[in-house]
Amino acid sequence: MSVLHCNIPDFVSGLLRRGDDALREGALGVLAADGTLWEASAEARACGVLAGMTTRQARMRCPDLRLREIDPARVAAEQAAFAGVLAQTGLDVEMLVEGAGFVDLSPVTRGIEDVRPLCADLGRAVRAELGEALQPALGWDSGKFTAQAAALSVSPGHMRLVPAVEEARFLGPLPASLLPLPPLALMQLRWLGIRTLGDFARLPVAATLQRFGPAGKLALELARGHDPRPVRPGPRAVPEPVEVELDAPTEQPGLALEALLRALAPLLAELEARLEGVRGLRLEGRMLEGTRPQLSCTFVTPLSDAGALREALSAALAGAAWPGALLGLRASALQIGERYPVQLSLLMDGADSRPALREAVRPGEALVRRLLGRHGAIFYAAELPDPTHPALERRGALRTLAEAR
Amino acid sequence: MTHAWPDGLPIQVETLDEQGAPRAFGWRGRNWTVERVVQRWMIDTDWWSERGRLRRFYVAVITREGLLCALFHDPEGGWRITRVYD
Repeated sequence: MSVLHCNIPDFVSGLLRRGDDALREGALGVLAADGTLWEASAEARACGVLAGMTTRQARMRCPDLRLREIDPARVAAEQAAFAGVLAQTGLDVEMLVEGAGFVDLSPVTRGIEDVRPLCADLGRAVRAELGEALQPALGWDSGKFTAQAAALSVSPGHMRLVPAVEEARFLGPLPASLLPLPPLALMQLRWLGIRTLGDFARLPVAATLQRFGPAGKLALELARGHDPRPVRPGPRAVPEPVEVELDAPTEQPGLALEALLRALAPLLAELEARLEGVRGLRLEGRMLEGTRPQLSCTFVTPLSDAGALREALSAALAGAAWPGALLGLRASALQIGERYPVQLSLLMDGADSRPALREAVRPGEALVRRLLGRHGAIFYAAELPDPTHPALERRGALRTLAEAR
Repeated sequence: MTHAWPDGLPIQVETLDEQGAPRAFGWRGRNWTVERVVQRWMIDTDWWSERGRLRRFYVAVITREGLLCALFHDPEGGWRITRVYD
């Protein structure tokens, strides 16, 4: 395979900036319909603002943050324009999220020499269509995962082509948090001291399968530079709607949600094994009074773990506050997407200074931030770098939780 | 329970014996008289470290009041108490 990943960082913020000169500088946050942050600009992220935060949390970290609401129609139109530019190549195109997509270059390229001019042309075409504010970063490899990592490792307006012989050397030092595994699995990797893709790639297949299931085995292949997932053009097949009927009417949507999650469990397990998740869905309630209120949810990142889905849907249901008692709940129009690192922005644990790699998906970070926000620096992590040092204070140290991470 | 202060707490030492250990020291508002020096040792380490060289003279003493504690003398920080054993 020959796969190109085209990624426009901060796509939605870039759109807002393109249309409003006053927003060109400074920290900018884009609000989703539920009031949480959909996207944070690079300046906002530098202050610690991340997607998924509430307005209050974001303002606490960045008092100068300017917030604008997302305009779904406009974003969809621009995304369609972006997809259109990629599709002009006449090749298979798979759109991942806003401002990111894959192009299957296999039919037209044989080696890196063919790819370079093609990528340059494509980059120019995207710039011409979307403007200078939305410059793409391009990454190329024989598989989707490495191509995506390559695109993330360069700044907008540049490309990184990874020949097959360099795959292991390129992927090895990148953070393991790049893997599209669920947050809990990423946290476990961190606990196990597996920080880089190189560390992960060295694990035995059997042990990875045993601990992380089929998703872990697939992730292992990705970390080793073998991505079997093809570029899938066009919309994905929508799974059948899932509906649950309750034994008795309830005014607690949480009970209905639990039943729905149980019904969704096989689908979620199947998605997780393929490193995919639910990107959005429509919830429909069947009320005792006969009404059928609806609620559309779109998630910042595709979700495949029941816990995260429960949290997101509970918040959405609480916000909707359907009146009356529920008789049943139905999930339809399930949008499926490949899991990808949150905000497509990553952190290197080492000394790498490439900006796109400095911000990471740090497992457990949300919990740490919540604790620090509530209690301040009263949580400490002990480190024992030299447990036999003759002076007590040099044996170990207590660091605040934030520093220790 | 043994109390430990990794950085040590400053103590007031007025007089030393022939081998350089305190005869008495002031700590927490009272005077403690050293009845017996149980152990003495020196460390000179970390001259290669960014955190700086450590040269210290440690003594473990028992006071007349029955306190078993470890004291150290640092050329820069003076005398400090670092442990009280229970």
